[in-house]
Amino acid sequence: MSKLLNELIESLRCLPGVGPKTAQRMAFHLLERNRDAARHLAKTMERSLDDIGHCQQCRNFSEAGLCDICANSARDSSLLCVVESPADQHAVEHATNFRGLYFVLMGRLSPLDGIGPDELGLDQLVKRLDQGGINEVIVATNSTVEGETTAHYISELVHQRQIKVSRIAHGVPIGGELEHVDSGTLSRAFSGRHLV
Amino acid sequence: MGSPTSQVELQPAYILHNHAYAESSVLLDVFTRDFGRVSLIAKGAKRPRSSFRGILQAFQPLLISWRGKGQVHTLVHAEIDSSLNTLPAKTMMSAFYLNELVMRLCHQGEAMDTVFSRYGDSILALSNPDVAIEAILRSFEKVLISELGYQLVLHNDAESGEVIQSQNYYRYVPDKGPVQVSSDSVQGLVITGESLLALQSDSYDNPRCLKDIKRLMRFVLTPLLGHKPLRSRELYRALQRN
Ligand SMILES: [Zn+2]
Repeated sequence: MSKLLNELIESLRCLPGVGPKTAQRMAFHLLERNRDAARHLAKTMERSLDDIGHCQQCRNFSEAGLCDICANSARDSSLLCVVESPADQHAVEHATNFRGLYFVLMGRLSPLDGIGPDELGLDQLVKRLDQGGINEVIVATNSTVEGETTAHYISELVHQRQIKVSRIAHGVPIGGELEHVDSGTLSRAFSGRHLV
Repeated sequence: MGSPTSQVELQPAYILHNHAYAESSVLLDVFTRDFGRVSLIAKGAKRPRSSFRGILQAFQPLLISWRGKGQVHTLVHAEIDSSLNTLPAKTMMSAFYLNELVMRLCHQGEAMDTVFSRYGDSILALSNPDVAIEAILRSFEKVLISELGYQLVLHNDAESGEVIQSQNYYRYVPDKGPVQVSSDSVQGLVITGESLLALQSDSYDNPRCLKDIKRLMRFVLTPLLGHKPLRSRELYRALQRN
């Protein structure tokens, strides 16, 4: 196999879930059948890497200093939702009617991986809280051990500033039958029950 | 020379750490009762319909089954054993510290059942937000150090052989034990006889002794842990600053 082709296959393996076989298939497909799309992909990739940085305010990916959401004056800037990742931000934005602003941690506190407050930009979050104008912070980190730890520390930071803080509820999925729900989720749903 | 295929059923275990692995799998560092630390792959654990979802969390007492050859095995079953431990956020960082100690100091495939059972007791105790955290950590460290083969000498002076006296001062000499010194001695780790005796009898009520004991544990653990600092400790400090 040609040296360059080998290099292409190796490069494709940086994608999640792409092993040597898949990478080879992808490379052949791009070269054999879809050179225009491949060229477009290469150019877009290059431009993205050059131009996409982080929003100064929410840390989400953005090619402008402020992302579209942060720059939108119609959003409610008194509500701030804290999420772990751009994917989570996207999920909340599309599944809920939340129209406040976000703060994207780009990770979660992970004591054994050395991911701490600096990596998550918590100083930036604190600055934002101290600027005033935020009435409620909604902590929407994941319901994992690390996500809960993160939620706890963020809640403390918010509390100290006399700002209301809430945590998203976790529980039984819609349409989920109790006997099929895993015990961790069921236990969480039970302890987080509310009056009806 | 292939290693034999192993097959283990419903082994009591705790997850110490997990890493994302490939698209939807998770690589687990697991602490088991009979096999010590084990590396396992939970295939497809991140898929929405995986039977592992919600179960493979640190600090949960689990029963797990695995198969495989060599170093990394495949998890085939996991269920929550006994009651669920929901750790309060207040004690979570301490629980991570225990996990890091086990990961750094216990070897793969080497059973340490006393440490395992103390680990379980400690995690259970940490599920109470009002527990005396320091006492839990120190007594776990003590068991771990002794199971690793570094028995602490806490009852006799390592040189004179005399019984430790509460009011005396001792320097703890590595690989040897406490040696009496004058109270104004500044060299090395000097602590009171009272603190040595408190550690020996697992009494962690006196804050002054507790401070001494913490210093002693750190002194003994540091050479075992090597140069790499404990990340859970660093994170704990970083969070205190905020
Ligand atoms: Zn933004």
